[in-house]
Amino acid sequence: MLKQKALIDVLGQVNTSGVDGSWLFNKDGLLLAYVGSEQKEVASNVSAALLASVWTALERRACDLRESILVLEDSTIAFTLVARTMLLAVKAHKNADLGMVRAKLHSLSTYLEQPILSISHDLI
Amino acid sequence: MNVQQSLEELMLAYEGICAIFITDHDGGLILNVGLPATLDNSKFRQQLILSHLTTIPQIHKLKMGGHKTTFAMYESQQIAIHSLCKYYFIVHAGPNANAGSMLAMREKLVAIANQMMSVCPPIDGDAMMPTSIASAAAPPDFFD
Repeated sequence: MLKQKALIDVLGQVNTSGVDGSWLFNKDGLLLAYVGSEQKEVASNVSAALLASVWTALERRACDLRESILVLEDSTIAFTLVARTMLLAVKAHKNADLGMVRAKLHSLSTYLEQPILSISHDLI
Repeated sequence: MNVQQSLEELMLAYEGICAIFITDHDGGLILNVGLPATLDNSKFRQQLILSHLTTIPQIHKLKMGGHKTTFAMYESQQIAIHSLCKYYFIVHAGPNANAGSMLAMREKLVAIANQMMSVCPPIDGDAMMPTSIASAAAPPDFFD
């Protein structure tokens, strides 16, 4: 099983040096966990739904999407697929180094791959 | 400055880039440069533009500022879409292109976008209209 407290601890480990939020949610946009600074205007579950929607739109034209990065005026969001069913996203300050953001995203997704695969099997 | 020539030079300067096309915010194609094999791929282009336009309202709802760049990495290709002025610059590259270069290309595209804005300013003029000109929707002073 996936322990919620452990999951939050793991997600929180990337929130350093410019990265200030990390989400784990499924492709339907349902949030499993969010760790990071509280967003004033948009709740984390709403952000997760919006990011899942963006992913679905990008994936519609080619199903082999691996990773996406949104560069916005205030923040940068990088997100990727974990265990074929979940999406992992990290939010960084606009001045954060993108290479570091991607490195954190990749190491976190690799770490979470096996635990999430195991709960996917449990659900099936 | 010849916009098409500048875009072609830019495309050839970066390894792995197959095509660059410019659209307006409604998805209308303005300019398309690319390697000969990619130029007649209109279905691919339209799908790409459509999927991007679908994402824009969702991105604005995140309330993290305006859209600057969307980068999507697929197994077989990479796409970067830069929002500059009133245009989207869509950069299509192979899997071996440098992601950092594609993102940094935005700085090079600014000059081209500014040139396009000077040649063809937007008709709605929301960014260009001087504040002293009254809106057509406002009633005249003598209206009672």
